[in-house]
Amino acid sequence: MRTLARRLPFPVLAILAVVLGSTSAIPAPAVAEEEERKQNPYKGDPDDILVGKGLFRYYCAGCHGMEGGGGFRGPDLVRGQLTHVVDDHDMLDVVRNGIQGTQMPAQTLPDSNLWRMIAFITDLRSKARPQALSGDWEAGREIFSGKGFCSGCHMVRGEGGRFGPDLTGIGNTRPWESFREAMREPSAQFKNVLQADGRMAGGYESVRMVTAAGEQITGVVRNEDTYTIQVLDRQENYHSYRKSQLREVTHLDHSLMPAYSESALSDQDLRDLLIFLTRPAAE
Amino acid sequence: MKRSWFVPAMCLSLIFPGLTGLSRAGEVTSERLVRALEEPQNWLTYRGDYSGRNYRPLKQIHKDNVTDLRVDWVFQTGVGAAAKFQTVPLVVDGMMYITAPYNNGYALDARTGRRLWRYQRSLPDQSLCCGPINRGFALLRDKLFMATLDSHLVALDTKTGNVLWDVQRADYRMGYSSTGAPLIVKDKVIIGTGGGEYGVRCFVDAYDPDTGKRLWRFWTIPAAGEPGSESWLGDSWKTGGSPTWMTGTYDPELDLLYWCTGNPAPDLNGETRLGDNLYSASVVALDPDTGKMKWYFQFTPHDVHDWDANEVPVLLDLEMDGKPRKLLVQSNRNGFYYVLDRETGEFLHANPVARVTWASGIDSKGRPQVLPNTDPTPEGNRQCPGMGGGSNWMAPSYNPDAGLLYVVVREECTNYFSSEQELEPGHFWLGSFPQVKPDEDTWGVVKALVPTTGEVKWEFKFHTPTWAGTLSTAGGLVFVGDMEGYLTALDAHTGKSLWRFQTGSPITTHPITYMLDGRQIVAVAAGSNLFTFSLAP
Repeated sequence: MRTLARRLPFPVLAILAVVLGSTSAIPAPAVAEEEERKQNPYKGDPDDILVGKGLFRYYCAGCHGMEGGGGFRGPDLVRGQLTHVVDDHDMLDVVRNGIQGTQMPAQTLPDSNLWRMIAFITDLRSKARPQALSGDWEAGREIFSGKGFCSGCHMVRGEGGRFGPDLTGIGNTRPWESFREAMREPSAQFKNVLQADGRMAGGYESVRMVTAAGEQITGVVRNEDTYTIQVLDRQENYHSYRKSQLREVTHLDHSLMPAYSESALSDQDLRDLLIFLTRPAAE
Repeated sequence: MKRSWFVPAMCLSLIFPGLTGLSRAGEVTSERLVRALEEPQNWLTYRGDYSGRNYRPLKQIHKDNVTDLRVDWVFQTGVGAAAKFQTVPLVVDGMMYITAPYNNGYALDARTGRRLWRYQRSLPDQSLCCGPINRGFALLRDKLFMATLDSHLVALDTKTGNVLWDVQRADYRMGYSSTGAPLIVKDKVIIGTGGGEYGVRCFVDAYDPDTGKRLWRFWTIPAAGEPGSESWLGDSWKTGGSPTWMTGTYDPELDLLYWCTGNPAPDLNGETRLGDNLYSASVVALDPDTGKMKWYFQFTPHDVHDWDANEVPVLLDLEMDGKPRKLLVQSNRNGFYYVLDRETGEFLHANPVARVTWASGIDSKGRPQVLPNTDPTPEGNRQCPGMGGGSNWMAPSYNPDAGLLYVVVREECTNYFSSEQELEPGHFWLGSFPQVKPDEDTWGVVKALVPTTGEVKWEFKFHTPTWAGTLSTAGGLVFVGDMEGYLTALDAHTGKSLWRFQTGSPITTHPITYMLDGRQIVAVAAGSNLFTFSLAP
């Protein structure tokens, strides 16, 4: 039977950074002990994995990719380190309740089918090779606040700008290939940054507005509906308008993030940067 | 407010109980349901009356004072806001009855929004098909009827919420599940079923309201040897879906019940079920006494895009080509708007109401002229409308003063993929998966159509494709919700937005209106809350 309590957001793990995998850099999580850790009853069953694959493609692939390898919006579930999950029990909680403070929504499916999706993900993870990445954490930090100009727009672990998305922990969830493409061609992935309703996710979609007085404002859309729009500009100021007050609202088809060429940042620079984004300190 | 015949009738029935049959004074009878439009103070069925027109001849709230509309009260169910709150309240003589996700039910004092009782169902874990939603009760005399996610039908006592009877309709473990509001016709409880994604064979049932005994069952897929069975390859009819998850409509004069059917299964892979797949994606006209089919019309033969035809068919009496006609109209999930003769099922007209890429048009018999290479493929095939459809369960409404039908359209396209998938009883069986095209703009629209021609008189565009339906009133207004949480009032004649209220959560159902103590009320469910509005006193 379903109880209301079981559908409430899972409060503990959602705010703990829990790292799965061999390169655990964060201490083991403090987990509520009162609830028995659930095991996936369908783990390893080929038939259930197949059903789980179909469910995954229907419910999850829009963000996490057809093979779970991640889009720019949804983390790589196969090779990435999952920040809210250490075992099957956590995975069930995440899928069932979503992750507060992120775009990961709750799925209102019966547990039996959630377990089958998880069996599919677990199967993929067991077959994946760990992501081997070599780089220099200190060099990455310097690039982030130095020649990469990243910290002007992005925050990592509490430091940096607020115009772009917070990148704390993002290195764990983005495979190298995806990260590299995001740096070289940010606008290419930009088109895949979708909300569940099919629009660009808040914080990515860029817009140019012209007010009735002729003032031009360019920034990222924090919210938009039929009647109003709220935009954060490059100087980190919020602008809220009724659309009827605006002469023009143009949604830009490119990201406001600059593209980094090989001459601006080499592949090794990017590896260093990704190492910096992956770990809180040099090892 | 126009005082109706109802209050004097109530007094008369106290003196002469025989005047209203066996029911107690004030109880809702089948006869009252036939004349539901004569009781604009109440909202007695899912779509307000048998014709499904979602219209009320109330005009206390009108174009010039709608800006004075403000919240009366809010009832918070506290039930999973992640699940869509799609209930349509029933309102009768100061009482309001609503359902909420996970088969919760409530009686509220309509004046204050205070709860009088609650019904809560224990659900098995496996019962939930496509979201734990419920669209509302049906009401007859002293009983409320709810169809459940675990495929039961429950009768509750209106005064207490006590369970009067509870019957199993089908095995939920096979994938049968119900979300729709039942319809009371001639003292029978008529109810369909979901399950189109599970490889089951679906049906429409009628039950005795007093005992819960099943009176008839109409299978939406003919069995082997029956007429129409030749439209299914081999044994595919046994697992062909054709669900009936929305509520039907009824014409008391013709004594015909109209119920619509959904997709054949598996949804996006038609190779295993070659043929037209009758009576999927169709409307069937049934005799409410026997469940026998009088006629059918199939909108999408051999559907492979999950374009259910479950949208509630609207019954209108209008002049067409100089002749008065009894019409059935539907804005279909396949992107076309249809006009049929509801006496015979004769096809009269169709035109696209959303972007359509899969057919060049509809021929003179009503059959779509399907374009080549529009089926789902293993590599993905972009087609419009998207899997959510051109229209879907979002209620249309008809305003006789403006002569316009308001339909809600989703403008989006989908990458349709196909893949082989073995059926496993009780499990999702799409035979494929869809993906909203990521690099295309999507939006929602309310379109005001001339019902006989499909001509668009005005459009109102939403930022996001919406799942909310419409309500129209004699005050010259169309009320409609959206995914960003606004309840909006549009001018019924021009589509101009006149008033809006931010509810704080997506609206995925249609508003209703009724009278209480001489004041017109508008009510709508949003998030996990039920809002009521009236003019500032």
